[in-house]
Amino acid sequence: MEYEDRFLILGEQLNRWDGRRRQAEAMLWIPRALLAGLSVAVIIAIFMRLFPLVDNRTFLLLTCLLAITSLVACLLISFMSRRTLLTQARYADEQLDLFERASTAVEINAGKVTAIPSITLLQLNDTLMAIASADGERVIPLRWHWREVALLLLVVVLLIAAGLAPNSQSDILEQQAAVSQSIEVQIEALEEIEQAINQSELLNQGLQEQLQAPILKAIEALQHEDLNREQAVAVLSEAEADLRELSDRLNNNAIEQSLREAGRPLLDNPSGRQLGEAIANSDLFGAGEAANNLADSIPTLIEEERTALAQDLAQTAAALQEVAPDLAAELSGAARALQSGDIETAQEALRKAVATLQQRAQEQAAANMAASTATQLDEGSQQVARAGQTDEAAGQGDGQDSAGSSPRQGAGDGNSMGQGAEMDPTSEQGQAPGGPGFGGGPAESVYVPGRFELDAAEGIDVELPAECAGDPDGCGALVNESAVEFGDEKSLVPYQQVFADYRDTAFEALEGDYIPLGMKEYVRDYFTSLEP
Amino acid sequence: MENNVDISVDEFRKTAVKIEQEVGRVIVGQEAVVRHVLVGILSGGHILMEGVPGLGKTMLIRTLGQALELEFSRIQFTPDMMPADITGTDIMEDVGDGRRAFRFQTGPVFANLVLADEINRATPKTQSALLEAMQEGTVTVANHTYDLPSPFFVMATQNPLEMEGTYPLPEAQLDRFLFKVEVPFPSTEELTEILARTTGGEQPVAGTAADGQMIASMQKVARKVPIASHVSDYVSRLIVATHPGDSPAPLVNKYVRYGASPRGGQALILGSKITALLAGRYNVSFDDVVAVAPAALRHRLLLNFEGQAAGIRADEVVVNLIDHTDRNE
Repeated sequence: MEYEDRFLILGEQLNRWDGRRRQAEAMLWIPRALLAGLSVAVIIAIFMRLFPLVDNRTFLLLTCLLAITSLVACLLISFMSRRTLLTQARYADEQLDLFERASTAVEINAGKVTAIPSITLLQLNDTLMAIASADGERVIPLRWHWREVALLLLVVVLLIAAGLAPNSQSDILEQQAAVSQSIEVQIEALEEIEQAINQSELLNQGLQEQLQAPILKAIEALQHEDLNREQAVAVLSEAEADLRELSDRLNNNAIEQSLREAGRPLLDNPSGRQLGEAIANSDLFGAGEAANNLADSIPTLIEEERTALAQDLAQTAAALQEVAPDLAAELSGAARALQSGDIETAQEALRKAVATLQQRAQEQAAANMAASTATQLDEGSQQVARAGQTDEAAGQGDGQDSAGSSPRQGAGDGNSMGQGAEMDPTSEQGQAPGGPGFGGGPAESVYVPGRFELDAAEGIDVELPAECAGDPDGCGALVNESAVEFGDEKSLVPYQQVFADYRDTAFEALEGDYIPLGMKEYVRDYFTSLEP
Repeated sequence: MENNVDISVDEFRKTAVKIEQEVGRVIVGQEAVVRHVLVGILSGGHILMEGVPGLGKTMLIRTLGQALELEFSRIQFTPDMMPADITGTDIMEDVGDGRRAFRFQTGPVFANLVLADEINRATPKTQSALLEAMQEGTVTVANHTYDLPSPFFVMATQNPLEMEGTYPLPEAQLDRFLFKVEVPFPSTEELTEILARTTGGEQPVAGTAADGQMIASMQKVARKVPIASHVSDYVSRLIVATHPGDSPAPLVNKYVRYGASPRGGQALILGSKITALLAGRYNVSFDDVVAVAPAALRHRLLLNFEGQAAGIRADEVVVNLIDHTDRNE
C-alpha cells in the first residue's frame, strides 16, 4: 500500500476519533448548556414575581425557547465547529497516548516537517499501528455526567413549578395589555374620524383643520409607547374638551331656533315657499339653495309678487335680527331692493344671504361633528379607563351614568337636515356593562382610583349640636343611625354637615389635584346627586 | 532525491540495545546513566558525569570504549597539569644527518573516547585546552592545527563533594557538554551484585557491539528523525523559560541567574530524537523532551546567590520549569 493510501486511512481514523470526541463533548456540554440557558429562565422567574415582566404562559414559552436555543447552540458548537486534521491529530495524540505520532505524520504529509521517505513511511505505519490499538472506550468514554443531569432536572422541575404557580404580577400585565389594546383601538378610531373629517364635503378646509387639530394631537400623544392608563384617559379627555369647546364655539342652534320662527312668513308666499320651508326646517344648506333659486327667479316675478316677497323677507329679517344680524341685514337689504324695484340689488343681497347661510351651515355641521366626536372620545376614554378591570372592580362606579345615558351617537355632521353621513355605524345608545352602583340601579363601569380603607378608629370625633342629640330626625339623614360600630349614640353626625365637608374637599380636589378631565364630571355629578 | 541513510532504523535500535547489553555486562544497574551516556554519544556530544568516587564512572566509560571498539584515552586531571599534557607538544628529535626537527607528539586527547577524570581539579588554563577539541574536533599547537580522530567524545567526570582545591568549570566550557549526567549511588541489590562481580575470580568483559563507523551512521540516522512543529516550539519555550524574568516557572524567576543557551535547545532536540528511536518511535514526543531535559539543562542553569544559599538543585528548577511550561500554546 502506498504512502498516500495509508495516510488516507490515518485521516479516516482521525475523523472517527474526532467524531467520538464530538459525541463525548456533546454529552458533557448539553446539560451544562441547558443549565446555562435555564439559569437565565430562573432569573426571569424571580424577576417576573417582583415586576410585571411576563405572564406564566409567556414565561414557559420563553423557558422552552431558552432551552432549545442552548441545546441548538451546544450541538452546533459540538458538531459543526471546524477542526483541521492537525487539530484532530493533536487531540488523538493527547487522548490516545500516541506520543505525537499522529501530529507528526500529518505535519510530514502537509510538508511542514521534512523527513526522508524511509522514515516517513515507517513513522506513518507506526502511527497507524498505535492508533489502531487505542482503546476508545477507555480514553474517550461516551457517558452522561449524572450529577449535572440531576441538577438540570431539578432546575426544570423548579421552572415548571414557577410557570404553573399563580403570579400576582400577571394581573397587572393583563391590565397593561388590555390598556394598550384599548389605546390601539382608540387610535384606530381616531384615525377613522380624522379621515372622515378629511373626506367630508360639507366642511371647508379651515373647519376641517380645526376639527382635525385636537384629534391629530391626541393620536400623536396616544402613540407614545410608555403611556399608562391615566395618561391615555387624560389625553382623550383633553381632546374631548377641545372638541366640545370647538362645538360650542361653532354651534348655531340659536339661529336654527330663530329660523324655524322666521321661516313661517315665507311659507305662504309662493315665490319664497321653498326658502321658507327650508328655513322652517332649519335646513341651512337647503335654505341657501332656495335663496339662490329665489334670487334667480326674481326677474320673473310680477310686481305684486315682488312686493309680497319683500314684505315676507322683511318679516323674516326682523325675526333674525337678534341672533343673526348679518343674515338679517342681507335679507332686509333684499326686501328693500325688491320694494324699490331694484332687482339686481335684491338678487345680490339674496346671494350674500346664500353665502352666509352656507357658512352657517358648514359651521353647524362642524359643530355637530365635533360634538359627536367628543362623545366618541368620551366613550373611548371610558373604555380605556375600564380596560383590563374586572366587572367587580368596574362596579365601583357611582352608577350615575346608567346604561341608557351613555350615548354612542352617530358622528356624522349631525345636522338636523339629515345630510350628514354617520361616521360611526354603531350609533346605538351606550350599553356598557356595569355593576351595581352606589346610587342604586344599573351603574356603568368607570375608572376610579384606589380606595382608602379608613379604619373607624382613625375617624375624627365630631361634636354634635345639642339639638341633634335630642332629636336626631331633625338633623336630616345620619351617617350611622344605629351607631353600633362606634358604641356611642352621641356620635351621630348630621348628613348635611358631613356632606358639605366631603363635597367641599372633593371640589377642591377637582380644582387642584390631577384628576382626568373625563372623570371630573363624574365626581361632580356624584356629589351633586348626593346633595340633600 | 535519495536521503536513505546507511543503516536502517531497525539496525539503529538493535545496535543501541546491544551496546546497552554489553555495557550492562560490566556495569551493574545505572541504566539511566548508561542510557544518557549512550544518547549523548549517539548525539555526537560530550558528557559531563558527576558523582562521588567509586560509582563506576571511569569503568562505565572504559566499558563503553570496549563495546564501541573505540580508541580510549584517560586523562587524570591534577592542578599541576599543563595544556600540553592534554593536547600534546612539539618535541625536538634527531632526524639523521645531524639535523634536528620538531615533531608533534600527540597528547592523550587524540583518541575517540577521552575520559577527562576529575576535570575540575585542573586549572582553568588546562581545562580550556579542551575547549577547541570539544567544539571543533581539532587541536592547535604552535600554529599547526591537528584533526582529532572521528568520532570524538569527551567524557569528563567531577566529584561534587571535594570542592576544596578545585576549579569549577566556567560556563562556556560547561555549555559545550551536551549532557551532564548525575551518577547516583547504587541500590542495595545493585551494590550486592557489584560486590559479587568485582570480588570474584573472573572479571566480566564487554564485547564489541559497534564501531566508530556504526556510531557515525547511527548519529546520521538520529538526525533524520522528524519532530512536529509544536514539539520543537515546546523546546524553544522551555529554553526561553530558563531565563528569569518572564519565565512561567517560579523557581527560575527566583533562583536562576542565567538560563540555557541555544546549545541547550540543540541538546534537547538531539537527545529527544535518539530517545524516540530507542523507544521504538520514529518521531519526537513531548515525553522524549522531558526525559532528556534534566541532563540537557541542569548544567546550563546558573543559580543566583539565593539559589545557592537555599541549597536549590538545578534538577528541582528543571522539574519546576517542565511543570509550568505549557506543551500546547
